[in-house]
Amino acid sequence: MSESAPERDRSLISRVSELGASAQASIPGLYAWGVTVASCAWARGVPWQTKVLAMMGPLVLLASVLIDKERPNVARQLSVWGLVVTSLIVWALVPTAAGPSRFDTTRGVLGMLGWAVFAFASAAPAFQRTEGEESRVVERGRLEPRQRGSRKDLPYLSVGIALTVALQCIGWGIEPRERALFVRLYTIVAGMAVLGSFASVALVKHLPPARKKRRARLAGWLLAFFVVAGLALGFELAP
Amino acid sequence: MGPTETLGIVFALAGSAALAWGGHALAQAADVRAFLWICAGALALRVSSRFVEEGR
Repeated sequence: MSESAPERDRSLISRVSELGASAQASIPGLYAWGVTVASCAWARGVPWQTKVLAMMGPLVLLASVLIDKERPNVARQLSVWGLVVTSLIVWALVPTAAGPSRFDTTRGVLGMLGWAVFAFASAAPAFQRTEGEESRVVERGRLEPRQRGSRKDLPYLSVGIALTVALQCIGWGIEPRERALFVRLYTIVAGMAVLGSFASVALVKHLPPARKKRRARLAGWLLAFFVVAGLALGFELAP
Repeated sequence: MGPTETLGIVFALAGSAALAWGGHALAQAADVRAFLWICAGALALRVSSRFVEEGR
C-alpha cells in the first residue's frame, strides 16, 4: 500500500543523504587538506607556485560539489583524483615540510583520520530513499516496550553493581605484570558473574510461574558447595 | 519476599564474598587457596540461581 509520505521533520541524516557523494566527501576532504597539505604548503620558504598548486585541492572539491547533481560520476572522479593528485604533488615539492621532523604525532593522526573519513565518504555515501522504498515505510511514533522495569528491582541491582565495583578494587599494584593482568581479568569476569546473579534475582519476579514444577537438583549443588567451602576454610585456617 | 528468594540472595552474597577472597588470594600468589575460594564462589552463585528457579 503506498500512501503519500507526510511532511516530516528533515533530520540531519536525511539532509545529508540528499547531497551527492562528492558533496558529502568535500567536508572531510577539506579537513584532511587543511591538516596535511595546507600546513606544508604555507611553511616558511615554500615558493608561491607551490601555494597556488595547493589551492587547487579545495577548488577541485568545490567544482565537484557544483557539478555533483548533474554529473555525479564526473564529480566523484574529480573530487577523489583531483584532491589526491594535487596533494601528492605538493608533498613531493616540499618534502622537508611533510617529513616527520615537522609533523607531530597528533597532527599526523588527525590527518590520517581526515583522509580515512574522506575515503569512506567517497566510497560509501549516504543514499536517499527511492520511491519504491518510500512506499514500504510506515512512519509511526516511538515503539513502546513490551515490559517495563520496577522500582523494586533497584535495591538488588544496586547491591550487585556495588559488589562488582568493589571487586575491581582488588589486586592493584602487584608484581609481576602477568599476574596483575590476570587478576584484572579475573575481577572483571567475577564482577560480571556477580552482577548477573543479582540481576536474575531481580528479574525472576517478572517471569510467569513455570508450567512444570521441576525439582531443582539443589542437594547436589549444595553438597558440592559445602565440601569446597569447607576445604577452602581448612586451607585458610591451617597453620 | 519468599524463603527461596531470601536463600538465593544469601548465597549470591556468599558467592560474591568467596570470589572476592579468591581474588585477594590470587593477588597474593596463593594459587591453591585462590582456586578453592573461586570454586566455592562459583558454586554459591550456582546454588543461588537454583534457589531462584525453585521460587518461580
